[in-house]
Amino acid sequence: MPNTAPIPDIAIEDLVREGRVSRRLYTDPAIFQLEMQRIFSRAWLFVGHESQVRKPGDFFTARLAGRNVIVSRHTDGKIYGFHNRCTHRGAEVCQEKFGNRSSFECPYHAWTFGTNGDLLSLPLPRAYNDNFRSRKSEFGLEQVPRIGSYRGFIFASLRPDGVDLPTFLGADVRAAFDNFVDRAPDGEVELAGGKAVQRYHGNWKLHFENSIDFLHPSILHRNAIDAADHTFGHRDPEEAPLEVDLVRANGLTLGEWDRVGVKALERGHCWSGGFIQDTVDTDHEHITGAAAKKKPDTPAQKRYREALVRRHGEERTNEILGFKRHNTLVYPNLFVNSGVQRIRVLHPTAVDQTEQHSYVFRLKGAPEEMFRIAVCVVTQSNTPSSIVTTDDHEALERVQEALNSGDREWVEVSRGLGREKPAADGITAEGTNELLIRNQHKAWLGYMTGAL
Amino acid sequence: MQATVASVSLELQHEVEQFLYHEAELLDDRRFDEWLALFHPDAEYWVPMAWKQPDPHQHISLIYENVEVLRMRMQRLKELAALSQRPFSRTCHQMGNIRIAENDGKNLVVRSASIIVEYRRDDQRTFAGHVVHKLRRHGNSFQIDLKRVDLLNCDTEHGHIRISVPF
Repeated sequence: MPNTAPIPDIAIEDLVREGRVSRRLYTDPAIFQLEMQRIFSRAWLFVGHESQVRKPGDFFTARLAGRNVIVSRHTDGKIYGFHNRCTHRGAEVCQEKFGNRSSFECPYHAWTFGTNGDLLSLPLPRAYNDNFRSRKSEFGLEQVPRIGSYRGFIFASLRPDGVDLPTFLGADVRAAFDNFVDRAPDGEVELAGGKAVQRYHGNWKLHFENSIDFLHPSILHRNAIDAADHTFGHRDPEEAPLEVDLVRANGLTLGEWDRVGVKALERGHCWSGGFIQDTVDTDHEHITGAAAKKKPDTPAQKRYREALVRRHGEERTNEILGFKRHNTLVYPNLFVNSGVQRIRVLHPTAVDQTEQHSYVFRLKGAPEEMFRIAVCVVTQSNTPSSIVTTDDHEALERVQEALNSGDREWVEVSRGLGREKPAADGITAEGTNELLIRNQHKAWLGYMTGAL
Repeated sequence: MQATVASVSLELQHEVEQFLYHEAELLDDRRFDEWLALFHPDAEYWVPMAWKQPDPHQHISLIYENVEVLRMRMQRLKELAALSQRPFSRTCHQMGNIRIAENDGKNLVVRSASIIVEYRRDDQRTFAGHVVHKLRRHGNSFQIDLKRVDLLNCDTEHGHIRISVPF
């Protein structure tokens, strides 16, 4: 169990106050070590998708709270998770990122393990004494304490006890995964198209907070928006390519951003309303007040909608495609975007080092064009060459550098304090309210003090 | 391979090399409008994110853009307000190993190796890539139909930091 005693000279409770937090949340390496123990080693974290382990013997390796784990489908049909570390001398057992195997043989001394982690064989067994032989069952690969799936999305937790996965996610987050899968005409999605990795020299929380901060886009991304307007402004908006829509989506007025509603949930989770013209549902009247911004459906989009109607009927199809959310955030490190078939995961590697891994999913039964669109969204938005998120990450690095300067201890996050509204299972607010950031800090304090 | 090399005249080899050097110079000098003007209106610019990536639609790329979208990318660099380009990157695009792999008189496929050094905010970075140019005859010069750059570290997990100026 993680040690929850405060380390000398840090009183965790004093670091989070109403509407402000200590800069040490972002800069202190000792705090970061505690976060890895108390947040990342306790929460349920996304590790992959069942489409990566369809058949017995299918496996992939994943990062879990900085650990290297293997997720594998065993012959009993169950999914197992175990540390990628030989129980003999500690070598990495599996070097591939994914594949299919009947067993895992350590390349160093050939200890061999089953796809459920059990030790199957080892060289020179007679060289071991009775004591070892009687304990042979203890030498299986070390299991991850808990592993489970929701609608095909696999999560694991290094904490042996605590709430189950559906409870951890809560109704509003489960709805995001439900919508993700319901958008597939065959009722199934598969992870495909590789992975996009972005890295920045900054604390992980800066990005998690930035993704639901709706004051910054029209300011920080102004030059990208101007570039889009300069290049395409004279053209019929219907002719603008998707890449341009993605950039322009940042250019709402502050009043419009406020109408992008946000909701804070239990355990630090949250979601924000839709604002990017997504691929099939582009009714943005609720934000801009301007009707008919919707582009006509392409032939592929028409076929997609028809396929959904065949499965779900007209009314349910409208509900599925009308699910108006941009990000759903699962604290501490997951972004779910069902409208663009995307999952993003934050992997902190040091107090000032973070990676974001972005994944695309194919909707089974949908025209291939829908997958191309999803690939295009990630290529444009979540690679190190994005003309939008490169500026986000630059800003986060400037924050990380500047926070060390001066004696001022506090970072201010009180915008909109007192303007929130209670709602079922959470709290709602206008888009530019810093409620969601405060909600993350509340969960941070909960995990760090052992209350969560 | 011997036959291919022998079939290229010194004059054509020289012409192609000068075109690639000119392109590199335009990027290093941040003469982005002139760089864009080298592309045919239907051209594509592609930097894959998987090694030997066969298809830009089935897998995420670092950059996969037509000229219109590329124009937006370059316009942003000209605005000079992008935080990630304050200060802007200094680059040195070095082109080498230039081979004319195919030539039917109108269209050429040129393969080369490129080393790109970028300096910004006290940090110097090196990229290396295998480059393919698909060129078409255009007056007394060429137009680019496709520029593809396969970076050695296209799929790195730990090395990816912001990329602003194209390769």
